[in-house]
Amino acid sequence: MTRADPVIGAGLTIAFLLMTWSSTGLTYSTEFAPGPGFAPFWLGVVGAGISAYVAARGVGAREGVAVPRAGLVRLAAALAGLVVAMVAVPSVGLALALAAYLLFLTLAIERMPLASAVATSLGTTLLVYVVFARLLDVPFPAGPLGF
Amino acid sequence: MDVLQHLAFGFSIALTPQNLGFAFAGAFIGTVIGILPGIGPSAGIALLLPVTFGLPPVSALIMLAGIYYGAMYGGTLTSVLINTPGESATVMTTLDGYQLALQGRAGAALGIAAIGSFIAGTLGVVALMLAAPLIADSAVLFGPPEYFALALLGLLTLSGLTGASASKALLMAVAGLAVATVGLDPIAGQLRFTAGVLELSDGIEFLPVAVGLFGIAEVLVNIESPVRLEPIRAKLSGLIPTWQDWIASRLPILRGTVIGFAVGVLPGAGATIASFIAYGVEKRIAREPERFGRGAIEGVAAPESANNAATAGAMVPLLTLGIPGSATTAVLLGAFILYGLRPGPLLLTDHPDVFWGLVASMYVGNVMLLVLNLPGAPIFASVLRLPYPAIAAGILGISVAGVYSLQNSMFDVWVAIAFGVIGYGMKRFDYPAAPFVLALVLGPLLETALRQSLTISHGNLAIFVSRPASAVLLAVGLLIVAGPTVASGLRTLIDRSQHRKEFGP
Repeated sequence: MTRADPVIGAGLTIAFLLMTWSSTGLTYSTEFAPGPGFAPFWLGVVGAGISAYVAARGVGAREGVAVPRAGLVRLAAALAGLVVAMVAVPSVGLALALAAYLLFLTLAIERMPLASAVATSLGTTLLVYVVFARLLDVPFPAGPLGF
Repeated sequence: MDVLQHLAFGFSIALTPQNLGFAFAGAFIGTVIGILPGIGPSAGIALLLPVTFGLPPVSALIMLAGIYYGAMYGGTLTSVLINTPGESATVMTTLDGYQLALQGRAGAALGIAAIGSFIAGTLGVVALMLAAPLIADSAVLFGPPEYFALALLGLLTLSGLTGASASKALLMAVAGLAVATVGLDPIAGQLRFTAGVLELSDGIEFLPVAVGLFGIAEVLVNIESPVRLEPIRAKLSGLIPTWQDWIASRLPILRGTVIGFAVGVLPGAGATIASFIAYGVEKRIAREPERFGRGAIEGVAAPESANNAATAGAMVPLLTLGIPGSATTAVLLGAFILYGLRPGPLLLTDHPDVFWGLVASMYVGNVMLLVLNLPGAPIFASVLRLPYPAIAAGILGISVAGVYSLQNSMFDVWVAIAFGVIGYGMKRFDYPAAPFVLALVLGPLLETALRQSLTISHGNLAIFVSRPASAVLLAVGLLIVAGPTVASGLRTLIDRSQHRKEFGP
């Protein structure tokens, strides 16, 4: 158990209690048989119980999960970049958004040399595009450049 | 005779040029996936599943199964050369494999691992071929209570054996079941927890979840704490074992095979547990147990054989009962379902081409892997020189495109990203993903079986204990969950009473 467990356990307890409460709006039982609300209700109850147990066991734990600050910054930047790229997909197309994101990831986050980063991002995007859009006929959202 | 005829039929399917090509592709890709630290067979199958869309189901499943057992071969390479298991099932191989590499015997370690894996993989497929029809025949008599008990047993076993805290594993299993309730109720058709989002009406697809938890999450962890792979400069010559190595390894290979297959068949156990047990058994019965951990060839032979036999064993409950026993087989079950196939007792009669074609392809695939891995080890070792950012870019690119291609929907991409973030948190704080994915896949089956059982019994829960098979399965599940706690409690009581006897109250 770690110092984070009480927080995670408490959060999940609330989520499971919300599920239990929401399930009361579903049909709990029909004649002789459980209805659509039966499983969610009991899963909510059991889940809240186990979450509370995990939270309680973690109280007073001394062990923490050490995450370096620089690592967290890299992670946040990588995620933010991914979200921005996916938001841009309807406007610029999937291939272009993916290529731009992978260039950002390899160059700015992973600190690859420029030539390697360009080769990696373009190569990966090309491979993905050929396999999915060309060979498997997946209709990728297209951008102004037509792909 | 009947089995041989079926097997001949299977070979007529597996040996077509197209299926041979897919078996080779699966074995090759699986080996590479096994080599790449951080990306296991679950992620590999989930990532490559969309690439197989449009293929005949048999060909696709032959390739995906090839990835599964190919990864077991590949994981050995990193265990031996960089002391880092490429796959969780090769953790035990690091103990002696790396020591052998330091002694200049990396070739011997890889050679005996490849040969042991081949023998175990092949014998495992023989056992699968013989056991599966018998189990399927018995399972035809299974009703909803038995299926409920079996699925629950799988979840409880996996939760009890993940290595993380049992309470966290159980919590993840319940969370997976909870997520599985989103969407249209499987019996009455009522919408649940969709929050008005149309895309959630069909529930949360398992593929984006699996890609997020196993693929994207792994990349995020590595972005946060980058890995540096530095293979030792070992000579990879001498891959054919010496006579002494062979003599020392032949019985560990056989014992590893038996242990691996038996453990693999158990729902929830799997290749990792099998390799741990096989290593432990060898160490316990060895004349010089102190050699283990210092470069004993048996310490490589036994766990490597066990993890390969376990992959064949894990196919038994998957193919005959439709119950996956691990995260990887859960993803494979998802693949079956995406192809419109329902593994279970009727698979052998309704789709004999799929079952026997797959079994025959596993024989072929194991031969391919032996041929690939003995002379090809130095080439595969060069994969370790790939910079991780390039691997990360590949994983993310395939994740996004693959998940999008599932329903041509960006919604699935967002689901995958969300579960990537959740998966990152799960990895960081030691909440296992395997019970979550297994629960997500088994959720609809569990709920349907539970409700059908209670409908049959007019709401009487005794139906689960009044039928022998379900009663036994539930008792085993209870034992697995409560057993360690009860045993620990009893041990404490005994210790206290002994302490009182010796020193007074």
